[in-house]
Amino acid sequence: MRMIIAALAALSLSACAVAPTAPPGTASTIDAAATIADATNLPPPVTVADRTTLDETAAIAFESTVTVVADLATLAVKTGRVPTAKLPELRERVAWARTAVGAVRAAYDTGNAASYRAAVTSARQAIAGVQTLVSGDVR
Amino acid sequence: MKLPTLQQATDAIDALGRLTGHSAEVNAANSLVAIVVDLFDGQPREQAQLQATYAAAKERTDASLARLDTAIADRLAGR
Repeated sequence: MRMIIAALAALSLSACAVAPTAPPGTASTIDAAATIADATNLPPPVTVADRTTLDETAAIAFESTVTVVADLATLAVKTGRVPTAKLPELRERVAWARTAVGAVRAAYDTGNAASYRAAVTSARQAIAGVQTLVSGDVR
Repeated sequence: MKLPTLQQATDAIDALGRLTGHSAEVNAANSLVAIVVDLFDGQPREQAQLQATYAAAKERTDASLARLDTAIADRLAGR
């Protein structure tokens, strides 16, 4: 399970690391597109340089990552792979993750690049907290 | 980074489901992997489609976090 969680998280979080929000056609938009293309084996930036498309794709990937981690964590809890003594800590980490996800959504709604990047960074830490606790107990 | 193929990801998740016998979370994970792999195929998407997918993704995230909370509470309550 640890391998699957790590693979799925890497699959989506790598796409979330870059959140291009500069106006279409600017150098930073193209750079961000190139970074995402490199990270995900996408075609050259010229074919994926639409800002809105990239923003939403990254946001969808981020949400999907959180969902997969939550689903697999639920599975680990239901199957007893997470010791009872660890459950209160897991509950706290889930609450942290939920707050962080809300911050990412709010930052996305405002369309501010700096706040979105900061929110995604915090959320990645929060999600990793859930992931680490669960995967650390699953062999 | 090289993405796993949809088939590879699906096979891995299905194997987990067979081991644990918990199909609900496995099905959810499969659906999500399909979405993510599909989004990164490099093909253009309609704006309305992306917005709808994003809205659905947010709902799915909230539901999954709620299920996790419930599972934790059930275990702590000895259920």
